[in-house]
Amino acid sequence: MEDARGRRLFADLNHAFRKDPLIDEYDFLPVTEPQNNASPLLLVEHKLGLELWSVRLLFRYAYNRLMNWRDRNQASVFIDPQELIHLSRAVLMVNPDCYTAWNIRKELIENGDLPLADDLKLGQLILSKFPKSAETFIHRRWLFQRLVNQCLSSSNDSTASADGHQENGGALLCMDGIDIALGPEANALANGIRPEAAAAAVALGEGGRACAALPLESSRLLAENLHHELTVCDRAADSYASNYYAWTHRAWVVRYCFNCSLQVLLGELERTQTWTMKHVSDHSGFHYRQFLLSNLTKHAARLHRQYAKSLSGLVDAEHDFICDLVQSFPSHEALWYHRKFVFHLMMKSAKTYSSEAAATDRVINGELQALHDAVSKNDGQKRSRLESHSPHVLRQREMDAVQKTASQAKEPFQKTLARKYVEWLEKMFPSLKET
Amino acid sequence: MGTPVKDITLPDNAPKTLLLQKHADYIAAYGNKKDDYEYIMTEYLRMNGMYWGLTALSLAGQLDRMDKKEVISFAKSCQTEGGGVACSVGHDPHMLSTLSAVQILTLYDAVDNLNVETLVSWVAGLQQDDGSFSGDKWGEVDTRFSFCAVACLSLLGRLDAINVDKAVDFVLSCMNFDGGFGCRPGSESHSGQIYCCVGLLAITGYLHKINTDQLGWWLCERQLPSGGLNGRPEKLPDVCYSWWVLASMAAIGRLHWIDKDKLRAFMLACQDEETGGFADRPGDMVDPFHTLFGLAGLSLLGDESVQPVNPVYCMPENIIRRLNLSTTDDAENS
Ligand SMILES: [Zn+2]
Repeated sequence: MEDARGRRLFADLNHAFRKDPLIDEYDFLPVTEPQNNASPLLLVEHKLGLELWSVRLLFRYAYNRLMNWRDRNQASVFIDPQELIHLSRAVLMVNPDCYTAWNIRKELIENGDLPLADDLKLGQLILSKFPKSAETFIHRRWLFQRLVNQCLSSSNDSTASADGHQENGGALLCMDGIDIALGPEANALANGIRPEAAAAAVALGEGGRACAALPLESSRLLAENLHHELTVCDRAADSYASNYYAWTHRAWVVRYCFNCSLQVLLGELERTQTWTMKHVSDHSGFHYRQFLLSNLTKHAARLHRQYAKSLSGLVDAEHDFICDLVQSFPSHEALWYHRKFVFHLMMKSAKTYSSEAAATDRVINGELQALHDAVSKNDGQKRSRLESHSPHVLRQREMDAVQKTASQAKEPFQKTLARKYVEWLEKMFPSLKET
Repeated sequence: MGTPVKDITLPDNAPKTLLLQKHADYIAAYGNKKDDYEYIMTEYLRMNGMYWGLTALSLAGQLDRMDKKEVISFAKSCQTEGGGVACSVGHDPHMLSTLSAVQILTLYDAVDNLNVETLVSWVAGLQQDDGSFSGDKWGEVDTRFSFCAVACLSLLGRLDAINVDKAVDFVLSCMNFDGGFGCRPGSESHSGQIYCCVGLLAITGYLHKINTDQLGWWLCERQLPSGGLNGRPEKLPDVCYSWWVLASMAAIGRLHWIDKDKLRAFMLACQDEETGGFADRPGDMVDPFHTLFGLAGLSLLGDESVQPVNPVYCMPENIIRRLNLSTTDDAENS
């Protein structure tokens, strides 16, 4: 009898999705007993509500049927792909970490029974209810990896040059020097204004290497969804504080799908500034900025050449930003940790300067030259940056500032955090001598 | 007075002594009440759940309360043709459930019930060119899976099946500026991931590659005024994270940097006096997962009524000794 009810609920759910394919959010309604004859499914403006009592019956039905089919030890019943798609959807909407159900969908995609785009949509829907479902993010990475590989395999066939960009066992997309807008304009692009442009972008290497004959469908999907994926991460980060899965996924997208393109790194740095300001307890958000900055430091020369930005300018700006936050929002450990990272980055580049100075004016490599150029250009006054940015001076200035906070802060925990920072400074950068 | 530290306060009436027998009873009864819905909802981590429960019982010295035959035949029935072990019959094989199965059978000294050869080659087959491991054939990479692979093979005495140096290199590439480790290179430090990475380095004899002071510092900053430890900055304290931090500190020899008495008080406060078992925080619902880590944590803190636990494998120390496995660098094999 329960099985019959479960089957009916399953049919109701499928009906709801047929009626409104644009369902973008769902939740379980705290109704524990059936109410006379009313349907336990509520659909209002693309929002779906399921009464709690029905969720159990629905899950039990869908799960048992799906797993009985999956269990190859049993003489399996035949279930057609369409029903498998619906069964696994019902299971995952209730229990998104049931990884075998995601795997069933992967196989359906490989067999051509399930459009990949549908699964991107289902994942997004599930994240609206379960913003930190690890398996949902894992499945999304598989989907994107598949898209990227499809684009690459055709590009490798046609252009054969995979120069140097070997990682994760395969070539990465190189997206530098390409016109991809991020920030507010990005939405226009992500909403599909000119997907061909982005698809072409994906196909271009740094030297403008074009790859012919991309499988049109995957490149179009990639173009449409890549920027949107950053928004998906935004939402998940909004709905759950310090969402490790959302932020590591975002970094993965930037690294694997965007190949850490400078434009994307810079765009993300700008885009997450406001977010982190509004979430000063969220260490994951700040760590993401550390990830962006770390990757930017690897390309100082190109940063200067292509974007007229100096690395030290970016790091200094981040230091100003975080010092401001530390003052405005006292007693936040996350902020002090970020300050440590930023200061450590400043010291690192300061040390590069001093060693450069010691090696006379000879240019050691292009990156350093660019750093140097950027510095002399940006420093309005001709006063030597080497002096004001020597490790010794930097350390002293930081020490003074933090000690002032330690003595003047009203909040006891802010004092504690400042004192810990001083200890850290002393340990990390012990008695520096001027070079 | 500014923002208070994100923390909890221990209720005055919270338990202050270890209710070991209650926990053993709770675990022993757990498998019996197979409420249909709860049971199938947790099937995707059944093997892990059995490892938590059985290890908790062994730490309480009462492993004999479970039906050994039934456990072994379950684990056996979950091994797939390719060698990997699934979380439950009908599910797909995964690195997490494979390690759990090997741990369970090691507790019973019965790994021969598995097809060890195919299992070893399944695990080894998931190592990637960069030394990392994926969790299954679908390719997701995570330092947790590196730990699972190495711990599992080491329990089976088959570390020779993989490229250990590369596995170590990948884990080291996930080390952050704060001394911690994340799930992939450049990922945020996270106590659970740190536990896995430190564990891998301990098993392989590469603990000296860790910046011990830096990491130890970050780890001991996880202790909050309540005495409990959190997993990352500005998160609430939790029994399971307390274990991962504590075990990592033990592995790198910095256990003394923690206020043990306060942590012990926090962990004891997370017990449920009526039902038995530990919760993540005082007053929350108990589960086998937090019960294992509560008992293991108290064991590391020196509670003599609990069996000594090995911090790296999270298994009874006497079993790790029986296998002659070392988790410190000064061993002959380093
Ligand atoms: Zn926990």
